[in-house]
Amino acid sequence: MLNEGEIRTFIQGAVHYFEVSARQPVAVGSPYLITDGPPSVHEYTGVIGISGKRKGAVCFTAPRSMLMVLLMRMNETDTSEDNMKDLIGEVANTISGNARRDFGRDFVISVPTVVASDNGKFTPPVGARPFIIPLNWRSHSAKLIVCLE
Amino acid sequence: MNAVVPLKLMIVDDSNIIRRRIERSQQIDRLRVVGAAANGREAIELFERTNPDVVTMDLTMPEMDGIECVERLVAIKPAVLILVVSALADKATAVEAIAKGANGFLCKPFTDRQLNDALAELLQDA
Amino acid sequence: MIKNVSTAWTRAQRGPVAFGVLVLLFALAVLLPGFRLAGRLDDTAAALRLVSEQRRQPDIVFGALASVRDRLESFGYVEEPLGELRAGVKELDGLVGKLTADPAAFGTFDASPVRAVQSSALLKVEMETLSKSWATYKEALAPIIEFTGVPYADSESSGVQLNPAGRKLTVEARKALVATRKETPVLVAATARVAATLEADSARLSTYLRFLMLAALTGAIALGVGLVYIAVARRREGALLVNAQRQTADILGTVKEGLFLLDEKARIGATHSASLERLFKRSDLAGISFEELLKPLVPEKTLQTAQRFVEVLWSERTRENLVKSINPLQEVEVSFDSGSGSQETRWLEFDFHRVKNDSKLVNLLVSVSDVTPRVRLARELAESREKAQSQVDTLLGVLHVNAAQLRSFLSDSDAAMKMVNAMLREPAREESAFRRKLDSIFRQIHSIKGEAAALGLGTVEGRAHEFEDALKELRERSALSGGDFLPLVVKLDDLFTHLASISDLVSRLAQLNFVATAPEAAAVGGAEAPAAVAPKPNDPISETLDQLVERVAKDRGKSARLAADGLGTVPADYRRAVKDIAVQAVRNALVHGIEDPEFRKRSGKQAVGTIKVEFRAEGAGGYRLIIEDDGAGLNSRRIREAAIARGIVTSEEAARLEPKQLLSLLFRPGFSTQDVADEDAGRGVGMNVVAELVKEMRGRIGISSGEGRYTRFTIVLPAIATVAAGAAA
Repeated sequence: MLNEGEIRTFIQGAVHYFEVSARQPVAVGSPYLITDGPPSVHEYTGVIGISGKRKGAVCFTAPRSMLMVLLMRMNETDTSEDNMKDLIGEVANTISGNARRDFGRDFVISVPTVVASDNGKFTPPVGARPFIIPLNWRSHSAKLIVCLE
Repeated sequence: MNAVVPLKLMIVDDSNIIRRRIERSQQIDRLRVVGAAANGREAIELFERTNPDVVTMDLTMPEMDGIECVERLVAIKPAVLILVVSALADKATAVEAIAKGANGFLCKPFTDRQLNDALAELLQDA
Repeated sequence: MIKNVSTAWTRAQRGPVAFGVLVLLFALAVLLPGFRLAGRLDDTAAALRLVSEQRRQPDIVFGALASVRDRLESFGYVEEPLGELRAGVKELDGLVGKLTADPAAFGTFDASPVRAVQSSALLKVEMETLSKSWATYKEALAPIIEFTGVPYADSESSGVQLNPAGRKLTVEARKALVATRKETPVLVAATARVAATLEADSARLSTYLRFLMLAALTGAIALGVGLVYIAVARRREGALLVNAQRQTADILGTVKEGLFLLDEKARIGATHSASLERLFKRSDLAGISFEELLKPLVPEKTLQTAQRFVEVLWSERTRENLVKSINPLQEVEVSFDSGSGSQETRWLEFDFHRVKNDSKLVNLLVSVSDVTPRVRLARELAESREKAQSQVDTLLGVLHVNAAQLRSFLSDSDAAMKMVNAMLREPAREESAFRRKLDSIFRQIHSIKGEAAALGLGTVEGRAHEFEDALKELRERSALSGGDFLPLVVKLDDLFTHLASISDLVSRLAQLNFVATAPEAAAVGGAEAPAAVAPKPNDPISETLDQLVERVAKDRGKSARLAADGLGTVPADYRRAVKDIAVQAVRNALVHGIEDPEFRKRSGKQAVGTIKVEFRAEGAGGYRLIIEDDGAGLNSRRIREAAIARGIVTSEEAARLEPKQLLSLLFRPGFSTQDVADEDAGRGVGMNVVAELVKEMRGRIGISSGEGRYTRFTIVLPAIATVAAGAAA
């Protein structure tokens, strides 16, 4: 089960990512839990599998429009489907990788798996209740889903 | 520093966006990008073909991870300068990479300025 | 500091060496010329002595010659003056010989008069004159000196007469006298001049020697002063060194950090700070390896990382600031075997500095500090939370609760928690939206807490109480953002988990028949038509209220009974709300309404107070809920004061309020007449929650009170269809 400090690590990771990569802060919405069924996701979802001392997944899910703007902020002109997937995976990877600062080396992160679908559902790999951290950036909404045993 | 000798830079990262970003953002006069690889295995092939002087290296990659790749590259060319560019923010990973022969560590996400500063510092050893 | 000590040493060593060289040079500069001067002075003195002794010799010789002639003329005894003459000649011959001889005839260390003569050009000239004059002199004397035999002939006839040899001698003597009379002064003068020159030489050499001695003395004094200076300086440096060593020892003895040096083989140096032994609880530290130091204390992986890092520190190609930035040993968890088989955990921070000598890495200076308090502080929350999760308390709590009530509670709480989650989830970007969320969440959590308290589920109550504290803390913040809600989500997650574990426990206990099987009527959910259920004395709401009254009365030293009526007929859709309202109002009545038994007796009331809770259907499908106590009633003065004290109204506003308006203050958020918050009341939420719940159900609430006699809340609820329509709107 996650504690407050641990979730804060992920929130900080997300905030830091936007601050550094897009030079525009992200507003964190009030976090909540998924109590029944799988969490809903946006068009693109980057999933990082977590193994080692903790097991589960960290996902970053965002709509296409947001990724588009994010790419532009990063001076990337190529907004192909491949680059969208690449970006969503990289964000998830960066936030998860940064979490090792607090979780340590036994927090083993996988290479990103990217799911692209219209308002699909994401099924967390473990039984823990997923924490949803809503992220509001400019006019867009994204979510960080942290699901760790 | 003799700015006249150009140095060859190879970029290794599984993210195309990061590869393009590094190529676009690096502004060190001496550096000339000679190629980019998406994983450790590709990196070694490219390295043997282009013989770079400087490498930026991601750690979390499919096929062959960055730490192993650093070790292999240093074995091929001990004088190569490797800047690890990774999201893995724990100290133990940094120590491991440096011990295997990397010369610098830049944590993702990074700004253009952080990238250039890290590369400039790396080149002090050149 | 180590560096300073070493330079002190080299300076101390360089001094005496330079001084030795100086003394040697000084000795050479003084003694060599001194030795030569002394030799020459010795030579001159010998020559002078020689000359002085023989100075009168020419006169003696001349006198002896004259005497020879006189004796011959008077036929006297001629041998005596002849002997004198011969001796004198021999002396003078010796003198001249010695002063003109080959210097090699003298030993190196013998005084050599001839060297004195030869070392002076003037003397050489004088000596030439002297020896030439002597040669002339000697030639004139030669016939007389060579004379042997008797010069007289003794005959009877003529008496003593000169014999031919005598006559010849006489002639020679006269001739010699003539010759020497002229030569003697020359010889005397030459001798005198030689003597004078020698004397002058001697005086000059003495002066030289004196000067040399004076110079030597001065030099010796200077050297002596230098020696003293060096000695003093060395002593001072020695003292400084000793002082430095003592200071080092003092520092190592008193510094809180563990300090030690690691050499290239990662071995700990001979000196280390005293604290190091305390930190690692061992004294055999000198000379052991870094690995041996850490191995018993840390997991294998940490050890590997530490060793890797030390290797990196030694490889000089890695720059200092890079190395510093990757130090993985800033918070190392170590566990010590504290003897009795138990483990003591501490956290240590290692800091590494490269020690360089002439830019070559010679050692690593390692400082270790105990950061356990800092780490403990950070982890305290997590630990206390874990303790709160202890299953035993939960078990004990669950065992005495009726299973039906428990299931009802679990289901209600689950709904309340989902409601809280839904509120959290609701998008909010503005401050006011966040504030609304807080208020709604508070009501849900407060009702969970109330029920948990009524059922005696301390572990749930405690969690809900903490939740309320967190909410309260957020309410007091001046600005709110989404991230601030994180502690709430974590607490909610914890509450979910905790209630799930209770649920799990209940079903397991039910299987083991520990918990009495509940009567059907207590089953949760709205499957049964509420109207079909006959009023039963033991409905879950009444039971909950009964327990609440019993517990709070006991805690507060009050005596009260519950008179419940019609609570079994509450329709399912209202059951939760009615229970929440009733729990709040009953608690309120107990805490604020019912007086102490003693006070009641004195006021002519029954010692046991009564709290009536009535629920009944009214016409047009509506319902009425009445909660009434026979306590002290509402005190308008206290309400006014409390409302002012809590900043709900200003004193001016309060003064203008009508009695009815004053009573409405009870339903304002944050109102309480109790000063110190406890689990039962005082947070100023109770009646506000009642008001909100009633509002949600589109009901109305009325309040009436007789001071000293009663307080009555009357809640009118609309028909259920109306609520549903309202909720859907």
